Formats: sequence, structure tokens, C-alpha cells
Amino acid sequence: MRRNAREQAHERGNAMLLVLLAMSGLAALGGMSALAVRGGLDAAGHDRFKAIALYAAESGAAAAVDFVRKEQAAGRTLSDLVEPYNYDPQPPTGIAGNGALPDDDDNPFSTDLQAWYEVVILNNATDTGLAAGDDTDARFVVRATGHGPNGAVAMVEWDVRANFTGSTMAHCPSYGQRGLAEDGAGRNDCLTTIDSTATATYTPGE
Amino acid sequence: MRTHQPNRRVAPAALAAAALLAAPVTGRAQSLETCPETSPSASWVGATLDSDTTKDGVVYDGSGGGKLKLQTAGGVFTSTSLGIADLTVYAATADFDRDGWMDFVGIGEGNSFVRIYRNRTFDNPAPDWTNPSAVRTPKFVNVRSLVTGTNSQKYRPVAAGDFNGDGWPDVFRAEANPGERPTVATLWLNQASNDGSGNPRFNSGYTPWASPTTTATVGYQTWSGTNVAVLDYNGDRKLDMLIGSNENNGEIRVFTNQCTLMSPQPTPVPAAPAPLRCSNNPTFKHTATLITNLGYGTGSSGKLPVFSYTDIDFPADGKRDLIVGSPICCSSSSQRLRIYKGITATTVSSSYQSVSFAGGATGILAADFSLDGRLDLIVTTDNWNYNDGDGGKAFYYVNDGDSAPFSGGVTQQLTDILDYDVSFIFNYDNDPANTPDVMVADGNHTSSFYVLANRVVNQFVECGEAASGVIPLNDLESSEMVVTAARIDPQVALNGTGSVTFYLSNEEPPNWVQATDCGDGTGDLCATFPKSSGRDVRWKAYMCSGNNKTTSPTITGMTARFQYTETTEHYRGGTTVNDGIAYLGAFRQPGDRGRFYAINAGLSQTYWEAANKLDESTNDSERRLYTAHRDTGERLDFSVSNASDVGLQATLGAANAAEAADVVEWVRSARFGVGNDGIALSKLGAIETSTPAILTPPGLPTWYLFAPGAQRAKVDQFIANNASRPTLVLFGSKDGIVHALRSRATDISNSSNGKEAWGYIPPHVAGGFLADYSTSIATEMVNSAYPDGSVTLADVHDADGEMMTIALIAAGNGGDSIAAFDVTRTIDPSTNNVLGPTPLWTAIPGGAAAGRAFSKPAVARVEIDNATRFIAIAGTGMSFTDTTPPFEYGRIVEAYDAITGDVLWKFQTRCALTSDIAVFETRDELEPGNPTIDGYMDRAVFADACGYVYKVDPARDLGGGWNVNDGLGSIEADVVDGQQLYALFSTLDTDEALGVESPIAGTLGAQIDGDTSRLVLFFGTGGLESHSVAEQNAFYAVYADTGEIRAQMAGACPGGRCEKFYGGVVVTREQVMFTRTVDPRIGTGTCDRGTSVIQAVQLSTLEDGQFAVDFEVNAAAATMSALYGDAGAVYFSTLGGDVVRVGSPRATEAGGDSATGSANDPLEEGEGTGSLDSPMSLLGWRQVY
Repeated sequence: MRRNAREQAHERGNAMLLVLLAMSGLAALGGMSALAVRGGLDAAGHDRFKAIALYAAESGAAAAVDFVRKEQAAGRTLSDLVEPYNYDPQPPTGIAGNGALPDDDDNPFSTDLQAWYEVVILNNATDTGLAAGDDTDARFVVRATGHGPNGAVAMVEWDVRANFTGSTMAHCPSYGQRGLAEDGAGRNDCLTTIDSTATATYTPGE
Repeated sequence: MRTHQPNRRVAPAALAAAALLAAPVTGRAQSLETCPETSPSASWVGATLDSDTTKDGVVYDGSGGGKLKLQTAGGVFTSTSLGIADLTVYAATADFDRDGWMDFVGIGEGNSFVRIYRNRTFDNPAPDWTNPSAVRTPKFVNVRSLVTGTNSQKYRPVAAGDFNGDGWPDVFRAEANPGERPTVATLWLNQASNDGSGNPRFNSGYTPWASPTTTATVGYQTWSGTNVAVLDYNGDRKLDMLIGSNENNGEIRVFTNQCTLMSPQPTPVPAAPAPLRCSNNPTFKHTATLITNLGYGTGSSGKLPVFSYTDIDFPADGKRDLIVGSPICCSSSSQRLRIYKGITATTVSSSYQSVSFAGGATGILAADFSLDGRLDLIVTTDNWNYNDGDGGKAFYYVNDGDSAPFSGGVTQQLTDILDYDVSFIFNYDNDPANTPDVMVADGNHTSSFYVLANRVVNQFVECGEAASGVIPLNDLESSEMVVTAARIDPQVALNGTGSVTFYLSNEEPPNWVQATDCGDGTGDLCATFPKSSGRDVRWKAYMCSGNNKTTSPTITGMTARFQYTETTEHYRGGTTVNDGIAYLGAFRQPGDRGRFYAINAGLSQTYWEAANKLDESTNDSERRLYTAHRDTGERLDFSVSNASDVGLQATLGAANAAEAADVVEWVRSARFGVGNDGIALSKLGAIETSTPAILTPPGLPTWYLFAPGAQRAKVDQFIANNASRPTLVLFGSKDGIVHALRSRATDISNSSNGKEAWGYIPPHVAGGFLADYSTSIATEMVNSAYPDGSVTLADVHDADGEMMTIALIAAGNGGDSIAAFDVTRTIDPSTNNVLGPTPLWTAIPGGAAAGRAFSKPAVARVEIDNATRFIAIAGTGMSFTDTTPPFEYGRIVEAYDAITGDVLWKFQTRCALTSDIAVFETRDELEPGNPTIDGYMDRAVFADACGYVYKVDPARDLGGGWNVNDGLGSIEADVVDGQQLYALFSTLDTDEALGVESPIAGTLGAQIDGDTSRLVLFFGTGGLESHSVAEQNAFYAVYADTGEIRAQMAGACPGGRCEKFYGGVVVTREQVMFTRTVDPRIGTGTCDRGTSVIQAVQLSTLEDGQFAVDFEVNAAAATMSALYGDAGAVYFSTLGGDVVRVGSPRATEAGGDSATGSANDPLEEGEGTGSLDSPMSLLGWRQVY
């Protein structure tokens, strides 16, 4: 069945509202600062059901971040939440509403939305502990699949950094010095991949 | 792309196009004046081998065109009567009449006479010097009585020396009732002219003390013996006295000469270290104590420290050693004769080395009796105090040349009479070999005065050395240039199993670097100087006899050339980048002028230069300079107005306030540069190898999340309290000062940028100023004591959890010490007033066994006995006097409490330390002890000049004991006190390594490899300028748990000249970056700056078991400096005078990071900020579908 243009316009407006609601709720759920956002708001063009699914996915992702924060506050590490090579990743039941269908008491959405989500937590691919299933850089990826009415599905992935909790801190020098830090190990985990095509020389004494 | 190295795997897809920096990116024309050039050849042949060399154990033989060969051995002593009948019990030697024949002053014990005995041995015929048993009959004539003498039993220690610097020796004598403190002390100054008979004359004596020192200060005189030494103790070009007494359980007190030096000095000014001329009569003050509490008791008869200290150096390291005994000593035979090795020029170690000795020492005489170039020993004994009746012996010990020079015990017992009271060394007969002879006497008995004439035998000494004079600079004399390397072509015949090893040096005093094959097929020998800041080039040959000492190698000729660079500035230190500004130091030669630059990270403009600011816009009264009391650690203002502070005087070793003021004024003055007309001198000294450190507001320490909540709260408060801390740039320079410069990246045009906020002078550095000052005002500028290391900055906390920021710096080329100071709050951020640093502690890692402190200390948070401690781990490095195996110096690594300086443990490497210290956490399953990632460092690693990498557990408090590392390596490296120490890796012994020893220098990178999740160490070999360019090197990734090689890359050897890995390593989560350098060719007459390649390989991915290359970037000149990585780019400097950047910096201009909120964020990668208020950051998101 094709919907008429008026209905579509109304649904697009709702979808945009939902996305904005989801985004604004992130910080509250996760205690998280949304930084340079790399993704786009492509969801604005989806239909209403898709928008509900996307809303559900983002809600699930936010719930996952909140879960991780609480887990770490309780002393667990990110390494406890990820698997080697992300094979068969964990869908933690501690994530509020994770896997709870619309009729389930744990489902956080109103029944009329017919929304629910499934969330897994992955290690980031650049983590040197990926093979061993260890977190070594305090970064993780939340993969949340949201479900809406009429079989609508959306999936989002959030790349999240746990700033000051986790298993191994990213080793990023503070005071500039020879050897890069007081440990003298020449290590800078925050130095991005070097673009070898960008070079320069300068002679200060001239 | 390089494809000829079989071990180098290049991933084509990953290999970036190499950017050829030889083509100037910034459009700058290549500066021809920076091109290395070669000097004309200097040659030594025939008579110049004699006239332009100093020889020790080596002689010139003019036959057959002339050659250098080994000296025939000495040490054959023939006893003959001295020929005097006076009852002399105290004596000292000097050439009082300056006729070239050594005289002596003799003093009685039962009679008060003081007589000058003139040496007239020349009146007797010379014997057949080729006959080892023949002697020249001594003839000593009493020509002057300073005291006629009456009978009175007193102890009368005596000394002779040119105390007023007029070139004529004077006489000092004290007088004490037996066992008591002296009541009389007299100094007779030589009249500086002889009488008509050629006999010396003296002025009336006077009491030579400066208040508050008195005659009694000399201390209890409880027996007779060699208990006075005359030397320039503090390096001020004035002779001082050290006197042993039975005070305080036995001690040796230092009485420094208080005379005022003439200014200007009469010409010609004698060369250092000869004394300079005083303008008034010398007086002495007790200003220091060399050693105390020798275990002799106090005021006990016979227990007098008898010692030798002047010119004692076993082996030669420039730090005098003390050898001490006593007529009665001790309950333990191991204490009877002890060697205390020098820690600095004025101090000795508190621990000692025993010399096997049976007797009570009355005379300790050290000289090169055997003529082999090493100090030997003769000890004479008393009759009454050791097994009554067992005295009157003279024991001869020949130095075996190692760090325990007399471990072989007595070589020969020379004589055996009743008792020896007095003895001294003199070359009484002026024999052709200039052998040191000995006078020994039972001074209470006539006819018991003997000369032990030292004669040569029909064998060669085991080893000896000859050193050339300085190569004339000729037209280069007035040129601004720096000598970087030299090449020699020696004409040598080994004549059997002998050997000759050659060395080259480019400065005064020499820093000998072994010359090795130049690698160009000529057979010439080359050396690159690690300290290219001198231009006094000379060579040295160390020759050893062969065939059981019956043959000697010969040198019949030598040619030498050196490589120099005429240029404005040189860069040996590294670059550090912060908030869009790159900082680096430089030096100009000659003149040791320093420069310090702040340039934009985009590398297109200079923001400021500090030397000019120090000279032109900083009044001396504005400067805030500090040092620390050498004993108490108390902070002292380093100012002329504070020169009256006795602590400052003691730290400087100054004789008085006036001398301290002179030294302080000199240090603060503009003294660097050539001094040409129209070109002012400058205050900032050369910045040789010091890489700057940037003190910013503190960030979160890496251990933060592992700390207990209460500690995290203290960290939070610490960060909040210091959020406005002004940024300072810290570095060391040759003016002796650790400078702290202001830098406001967000206000780059502010005139305060680059101005000195304060300066700190480590106390050991301050202790070296007096000698440098004295030499500098008399002859030429010398700066040998200065902080040349790179500052380590760290946030630590004490036992109460109170946070602070500490700085540590090692002396590098400028000494062997390290110093720690608190820099938490050195400037009041609200007023900008300077509060200054707070000294914490100072140390010499390894004490008497320290080398030059090249290694950068590391700071680690560790857990010891369930308590959190912060420790500093530090070592030194190669000594200029000890550059080849077996190494004696620079092998000790010690751990200190980072705040108190208490020593926790020590470790000894097989060879001199050459790397910085690195620490890391690990949870590798193969690592013993099941370490975990918990915010506490688990291992410390370091490497040495022979290619051994060591791993130790840093979290131990052993009270300074050996940190035995069982299980942390399997390669037996060294044994200390019967305990085996191990290496984790060896270029010689590890499977698939080089198979030869090769130095590992600079940074040891440490990172977890993403493939195996094991911690891997990254380092390369050959990273010393002195290492032969002809030897193969390699870069390794080695598993930190087992020491097994994970991957390696062979250095290329094009044309027989091999790439070196100088130790600049930066490791990210994805890449490992390092440098491959080919040193410039030496002395070829071609323009060769050397080359370097910045190499990046993947951290976690291997291809066919070897490194997968990410990129290679060529640099136009060799680099030996550290690599620095910051915010998207790596930086380094080259010998050619360029700063080079690879990568795109996040902030290209000053304050760029601050503007985006990225400054000082340890977690920041470039996409935003993290803070304590945001436990999670969303780095990015995407909708998959």
C-alpha cells in the first residue's frame, strides 16, 4: 500500500523528532559527551516505522553505554565484555530492555510503538587486544539493532571511548619530553597513523 | 624502495611514496656552509713522533728513521744509602732551587730542626744506565736551616708545595706534642731566588690560618707517617693541603688555600693545572673533610690516617681515589689498607676496596714504578704497632690494570729493617728513563736512610701509550667550525704478538673514541665524536708488548685528518612539540654559544629564540637562579648577594665569600661565543644533547583509573589547583643551568615568551664551577660541569597521597650525576611571580663506578609491600676514559625513591649503559609472577654497549642491594657478589640475532602487539657514533616475556658502510617508527652529510614473519637525535641543521590545540575533548542500515 504524501510528510517529521530525542537522550543515559560526530542523519528520510526502529536502536545503544558505565563503576572491565575477534559477541542481559519484546515488562517503550532492541558490545577493530578478547585502549563499539512496527529494522554502531575507566588506559603522553613520557617507552597511543606524504623541513638558524 | 636487503619485507600496498626531503620542501636553498669538509693532513714521522707526543710507558727510538716503541720495564730496586746522618722523621720533596733535581725538606722528631737538603747527586758520576744493578750515588747537602733546632720530642707533619703560585716551592710544618693537636704551624715562603751558591732561600715563617681555622684544627697527631698531601683539591688553581688526623675516629681534613689570585696574572700564565700567582700570602681554612670515621678511634696513639691522594686514580677516570692505612689498623685485616674510589673530583665513595697487607702503614707511595703507564704502590711499615718487631718492610704492589688494581697482592718485598718512619718518592738521579725512586728511612736511627733506586730491566712494559699533540688548525683557527670526526693512517709493525689500539679525541681534556676501520677499503681508521663540540683533535696509541714482553710494536709514522663543519648551528638534541609549537636547542661552535627555538609545528616560522632574549631583554637582576646545598639539599639562591652563605660556598667548594661571588658572577655572565670584535658574548651556553621537556598544567596520570577513590580525589584536586599553571620549557645547557622558559602558546606574540622564568643548577654541577672558573679566567674558557641530559617530568605522590610534579635531569656530557627537583608550583599563576623549584635530591648512579650520565631516567609507579611508591630509575653511561670492553664505568643502574632519593636497588650491566631506561606494565602469560594491568609498572628494561638488553622487576626495596633478576632472562651477563645477573636479549647470544656484540642505544620502545597481545620491545643496534660503520646492524622486535625475536630488519651496508639505528623509536597503536642512519663519510674530502631514513612498520602485522613496511621517508642528512611524535606527526632534527616533520600536525600554529580544546589532553586523538565530567565519549556513530 502506498501512503499519500501528507502522511509521509507527517511521518518524516515524527522521524526527525525521534532522532533528535534519541540524540539528546544520549548524554543523560550514558553520562556521555557527544563529540565530533562522523555519521550522518540519514534516518530523516526513512519512513515512520523505520524511524521507530532507528529510535529503538539508538535507545538500545544508549542503554548499553549506561550499562558499561555502571559495570565499570562496579569494578568490571571492558575486557570482561568483549570476545576474541568479536566472535559470538555478548548480548549482556544487564542492558536495560535488551532483547525485551514489546509485550515484555522489561521493554522500555510504550506498547503502541511496537519497538524493541538487541544490543551487543564489540571490541574496536584497532584494539591490539582484539585477538585475545582484551580491551587495551578503553574503546568499544555498541552495535544496536532496533525493531519497529511491521518488521522495520535499523542498526547503528557507536564508537565509544570510556574516558577514565576500563582495563588498560590508552597510553598517551602528558608532558612532552624525550621518550614521549616519564616511562621512556617511546609510546604514544594517541598518535594517529602518520601521513608520510606530508613532510616539511625548516632551518631555524637561518 | 629498497629491495636488496633479504630480511626486509616491504608491503607494496602499504608502502607510501617516499618523500625526498633532500629536495627542500619549504623552498629553502641547500646551505653549502653546512657541508662537512676535510682538513689538510697532519703527519708525524721521525723526530715529530718524539717532539709532538706525550708518552707513558712508550719511548721514542731515533734509530731507523725514528719510531715509537714500548718502554723497557722498570721496578728493579737497588738499595743505597741516602748519605745523611740527621735524625729526620718527617720529610717532603720539591725542587726548591729549581735546578731540575729534586730536593727535600727534613724535620726531626726528637729535635725541632727544619732543614733543606739540596740534591747534588749531579756531583757524582752517572753509572752505566744499561746495567740494572748500577746506581748513581746520592748526594744531599743541608744548605738551609729554617729552624736551627733544639731537642724536643714532637710530631711535626710537613708539606712542600708552591702555595703562592710563584713557581718556587714553599714549606709548611705543624708541631704537636705526641698524640695531641698541634700548637704551632708555620709556612715559609720561598724567596723565589737562590743565593750566590745556588741554594734556595726562604722568608720568615708565619702562621698560615684563615679564621676560624686555627693550628689545633689540624687535629690529633698520634704518630708519624705520610699524612699530609698537597694538591689543588677544589680546582681553583691554588694548592691546598689535606691532613690526616685522629679526630672523629680517624679523618682527613681539607684545608683550602685562601689567597687572592693576582688579576691579571703575570705572563706567561702557566698552563692548567699549574698553580696561579697569589697576590697575598696564602692562608688556609678547613673547608671540607675528605673522609671521616675510618674506625681508628679518636686520640689513640698510632692510629693516624696515613694516605695517598694526590694524583691517585685507579684506573684513570679523572676522579682522584684515596688509599689509606695507619700505623695501627685494624681489627679486620681487610681494613688495614683500603682504596676509596673517587665519586667526584673532590669526594670519595663511602665503600672501599681492600688491599692485602700485613703491617702498620707509615708510608703509602703511589707512582708508576714499573713504567707501564699505571700507578703502582709501595707501602712501608712501622715496627711497633703491628706484631711488635715485624716492621721495617717495604712492600711493592704492581698495578694489574683492572678495577681491583692490587688484587694480586704484594709483588715484591723490597727491604726489611727495623722500622720505617718516613718515606717519599723522588727521581733523585734523573736517569734516562725518569724512573721514580723512593727514599725510605728509620728516621730515629742514623745510617738507616735508604734510596731505593728504580732501574729498568731487559723486558718491555706490558702496555703503554703515546698521545699526539693537537692538530694545528692553521687557517681554521679563526673559523666558526665544529669537528665531528677524524681519520688516521698509522704506520705500524706489531713485531710478534703485540697489539696497538688507536683512539681519537676532539676536545680538551680528551674524550677518547676508539678508531675503527673506516669501511672504505683503505685500511684507515676512523672515529666519529659523540660530542662534536671541541676542535682539539689528537690521536692516541695504546701499545702492548708481545711474546712474553720480549717484543714491542712500533709506530713509524702517522697521518691524520679531521672532518669539520663550518656552520652556524648544530642540532644533537631532539625536538619536542606541544600545542602547535616545536621546541629545540642548538649550539654554535667554536665558543659554545647556545640557541633555543620555538617554531610553529607547521615548520614555517620561528616564534622566538631564547638566547637573544636572555642577552638583550633580561637584566641580571631579573634572573632567578637557584642551586641546592650539596649536603643538606636546602635551596640556595645562586646570586652574588648570597655569596656569603656558607652553604653556597661549601657547594661551590669556594674558599671564601669573595671566591664564591667571583664564581657566581662568572656563571651568570655572558661568556659564550668567540669574542670577536663587534660580536657580543652571550649567556646561554651550548645545548648539546638536551631535549626539552614541556611543563604544562597536569593531566590525568595513566594510573588514575586504578587508584583508590581517595587518591583519585587528590589527583582531581591537584589538577584543579594547577589548571592555571603557566607552561614552562625545561632544558639543560652548557652554562650549567637547567633553564625554565615561559611559553604562552595562546598568546604567541606576548613579549614574555622565551624569557627565562628561573634556572636551577644541580649541586654536583655547581661543585664543578670553581675549577672551570679558575681555568677560564687564567687561560681559556672551560665548561666541563653542566646539565646536558633531557628532563624527565612526572606527576607523583608521596606516602600521604599528596601530588606533585617532579623533574629529573642527568648531566650527560657534563658529568655523572642526576638531580631531582619539585616543579609543581614554580610560578604563582595569579601574580606571575617566580616561586622557583624545590630541590629534592641528587645522586651519582654507581658512585665511583659512574660514567657520563647519558641515560634519561624513568619514573615508575610501583607497589612495594602493599604500598604505592614512585621510583626513579637511572644509570649513567660510557665514560670518556673507558670506551671499549671490558668496561669499568657506567654499568650500574639504580632505583631511587622519586621523592626522597633513597636507594632501593641496583643492577650491573655487562658493558656500559647506552640506552635510556624504559618501564612498562604487562600481563603476558609467560612473564614470571603473573603481573596484571593494575597501574603499577611491572618491568624496567635497559641495554648496554655490548648489545645486552636487561629486564628487572622494579618494584623492590632492597635497601640498595643487587636486584638479582632470576627468571627475567636466561643469558648469563654478569656476576655480582656471587650472584648471577641475566640478560633478556643479546645481539651475540640470542638465536637469529647478529651473532656479534653491538651497542643498543636510545629509546627502547614498548608496546602490546595486537596479533599476539604480548608486549614487544623495539630497538636497533649500532647507535653510537663511535661504533664502526663497517659492522652490520639490525632493528628488532623482541617479545618482552621471553626475549625471543618476533621480527627483525637488517640495516643496509651499501659500499661497506652500514646503517645504524640510533634509538629514535616512536610506537603507536598501529605503527613503529624509527630511523636508519648512515654516518657521514669521514675525511674523504667530499661533501657528505650522511643520510637517514625514517622508517615506519606495522605494529601488529607481519609478512612472512618479518616487518610489514608502512613507509620510508628519506632525510637529507644523518640524524642521531630522538624522534618525537605528537598529534599526527613525528619530528626530528638532523646534523645538517634542519628540523624535519613527517605527517600532518593537528595544530600547525601556536595555540592551535588550545583553540580546539585539545591541548594537554592525554587521551585526545583529535576529535574533541574528554574530561572528568564525561566518563564516556562518543567518538563516532553510523547507521548500518
